[in-house]
Amino acid sequence: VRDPALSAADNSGLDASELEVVLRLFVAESEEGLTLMESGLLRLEQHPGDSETAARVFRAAHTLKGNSGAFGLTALGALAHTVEDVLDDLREGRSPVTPERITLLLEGVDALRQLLARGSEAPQELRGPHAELRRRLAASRRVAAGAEYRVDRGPGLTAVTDTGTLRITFGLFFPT
Amino acid sequence: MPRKKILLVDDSSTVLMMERMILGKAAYDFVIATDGVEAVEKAKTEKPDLILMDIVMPRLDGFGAVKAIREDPAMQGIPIIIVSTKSEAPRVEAAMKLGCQDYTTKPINGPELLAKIRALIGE
Repeated sequence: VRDPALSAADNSGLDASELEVVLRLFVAESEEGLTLMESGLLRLEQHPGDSETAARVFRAAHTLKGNSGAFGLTALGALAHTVEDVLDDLREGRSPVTPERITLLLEGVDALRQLLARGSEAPQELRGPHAELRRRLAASRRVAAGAEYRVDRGPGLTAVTDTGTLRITFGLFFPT
Repeated sequence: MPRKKILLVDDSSTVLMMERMILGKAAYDFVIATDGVEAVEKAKTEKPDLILMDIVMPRLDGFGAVKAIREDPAMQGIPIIIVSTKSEAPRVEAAMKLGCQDYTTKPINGPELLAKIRALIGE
């Protein structure tokens, strides 16, 4: 019985022995990429302005996403894609590096490592905690893409958007 | 007649290996570059007949490399095929405007890629 992952890559035009060589290389390169992502994220937490590290971590996720598609590892590819999107926001400065985002991304790296280890035995779609993690990663993006909210000192809320700053002051009414 | 030479540009060793194996099905020689800067250098020194260009790479991305190659009169005529992921499809149009001849998406379809290469440079 051929490995389903190898069958999925049949449109490459390569034979089974060639695909096995590529698959081994893919696993080794992906493990290396995940290690790089982990160390890079930890560095980013200490040095949020380190754009070179942000770009390197983004590229590792991008490569993992692209290559997992070649072997039909769709769940791995889908989670890598969402992690890549969050990293792209950090890289492009669309959202800030925060300890919460780094923790979430590190959870993503752990999940990617688990899916990679399961290879073609992993389900085709993300399930359970992995699906939930993907939702949380995507949700962290939506907040960042819309606006950064912060509570100001005075009564009210300041929303900083791409087009400027909007301050909404809530009127406090104290009956006399 | 000398074999045609193709410059493979990608920062992923997995992709480079796949491309090498696919090109091995035909009579092409190849050289490799793992980032955009090296791609421009190799395009200049190796004078390839065609370039397979990735987009997301360290030092200089595929767009930057294509631009630099097209700005050099000695390299303007080298056909370039962009090899991108599906999610980069919207950016492919920009690459074509920079002077690329064709594109293909990952995961690479070997026979399709060989057909595109043959259409551009023969074998």
